[in-house]
Amino acid sequence: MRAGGTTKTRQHLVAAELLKILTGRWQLVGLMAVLAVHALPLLLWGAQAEPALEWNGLRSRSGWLLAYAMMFFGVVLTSSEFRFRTVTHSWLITPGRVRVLVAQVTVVALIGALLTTAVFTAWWLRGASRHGVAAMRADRPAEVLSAYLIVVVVVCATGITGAALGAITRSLGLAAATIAVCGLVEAVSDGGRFHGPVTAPSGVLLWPTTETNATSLSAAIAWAVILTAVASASLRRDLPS
Amino acid sequence: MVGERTRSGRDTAAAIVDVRGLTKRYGRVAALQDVSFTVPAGAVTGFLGANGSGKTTTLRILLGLVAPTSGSALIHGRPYREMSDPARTVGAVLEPTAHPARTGLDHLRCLALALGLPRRSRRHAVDEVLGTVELTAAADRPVGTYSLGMRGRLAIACALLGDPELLVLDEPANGLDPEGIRWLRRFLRGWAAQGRSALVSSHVLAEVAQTVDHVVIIERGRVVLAAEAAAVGAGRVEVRTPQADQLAELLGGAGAVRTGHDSLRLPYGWAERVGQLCALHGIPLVELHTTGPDLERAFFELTGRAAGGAA
Repeated sequence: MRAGGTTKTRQHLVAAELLKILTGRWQLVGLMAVLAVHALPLLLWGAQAEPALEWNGLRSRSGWLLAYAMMFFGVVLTSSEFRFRTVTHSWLITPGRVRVLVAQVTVVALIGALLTTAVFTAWWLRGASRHGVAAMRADRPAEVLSAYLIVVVVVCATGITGAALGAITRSLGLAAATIAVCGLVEAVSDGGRFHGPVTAPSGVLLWPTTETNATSLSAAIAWAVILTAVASASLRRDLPS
Repeated sequence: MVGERTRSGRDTAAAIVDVRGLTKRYGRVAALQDVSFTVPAGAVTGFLGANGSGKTTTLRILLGLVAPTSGSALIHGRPYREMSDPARTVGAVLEPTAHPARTGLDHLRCLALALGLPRRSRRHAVDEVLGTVELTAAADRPVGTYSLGMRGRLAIACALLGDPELLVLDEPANGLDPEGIRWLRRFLRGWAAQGRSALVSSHVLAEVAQTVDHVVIIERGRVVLAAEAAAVGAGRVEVRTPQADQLAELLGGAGAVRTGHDSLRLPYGWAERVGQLCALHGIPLVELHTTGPDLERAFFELTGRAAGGAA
């Protein structure tokens, strides 16, 4: 018998999810690709743009692509556990299935915040280097901080929405189809446009940085919370043979 | 081996698993109907049945992965999902699953971390279980490159990480080559020799007949037999020696029966004792062999199946 007991904590589960990403190869490559996609626009964008455009487009350029990439990442993170049936191990080790989901959602939020910080900072520095720090509101740090926090919150909420969808559908294909159909339905309906789980992030991030569509922001957060609650409830379903 | 363990005084009376009145329905189909049995502590229990008889469903309910329609499946008196740290008590292999791009070593590291093993013992535990399942040399290869047998052994390594007292193995020999099956038997014998318990399901009766102490046979969702393996199909030990009378006298109450002028028949499990006595008293042995409990015959009699049709 081996000596030493276990001291399983939420941190252990989060650390295990992070290690899975680091050792799973494709998830890590995908995240690096999202960062790499920003490199070329960072070099070329705004060379002849107005300084005001640089600031107004900060939120969309730093957050929009990242938000939907994180939604996809969230779906992959949770659904791949079912695809490769590794969820059996997770649930055998931690029968409290909600704790596993919470760890996954935490990891999505952590990675979303980390990537947002890197991309937002890069875009802000790019604007400051082209048009000066004043154009990027360095003299009004509260505005910069507010823009940053909005991007972080929306990116994380979108990622969590994806993770919840992956856990509910238990399938990458089904989750992707759900997102596509939802996005389409939301886009063509006046009430749902920029307020549904798929288009709400666009309702926040596509607006100029000087404006905030508060209802879209609330909707993005609310959908993340609602779908996480639904995903938690759906974990009671049997794991088929 | 079974008999020796029982005679050695190991406590087989206490049940580590207690399944009572388990019923599982999928719509109108009853996968399990009032299934009840116990798994004695410190013994290897074979859970036998044809494909689709309800073995996997029972094990999944036992491990909290499937909810029963009614009844209970308890480990140490508690449902799996209510155990505070179940992986320290139960190691389970339901199917060989791992992310194909992850190496065997990384897969185990992830599980060891999720288990909450202390940092200082995590690497040691992973190395130890890799060594136990003889996968150390392949530890750095992606699981996608493993053979089915290697994946099966990796799954057993995962189950061993928490250093459990009970192993639950669902069809562990599936996909194993003859060498792998030999390894599995050796492993289970070693496991039982440590006084630990195992519940091993199989539809290939010959695989478990040589390994189990106790059998539970399930057919069409109902338990048709739960008994000591030695009592099922009564295995035996055959001995031939020119000094049969002297050996029978030395064996005393072993239940030796004369079957010829130079031959004896003893109950299953006495081979080792016969060997010891012959060596001690200089009795020449012409023949000594054990015939295992005939689980296959018992299975077919109980389930009413034709002898080629179960596996």
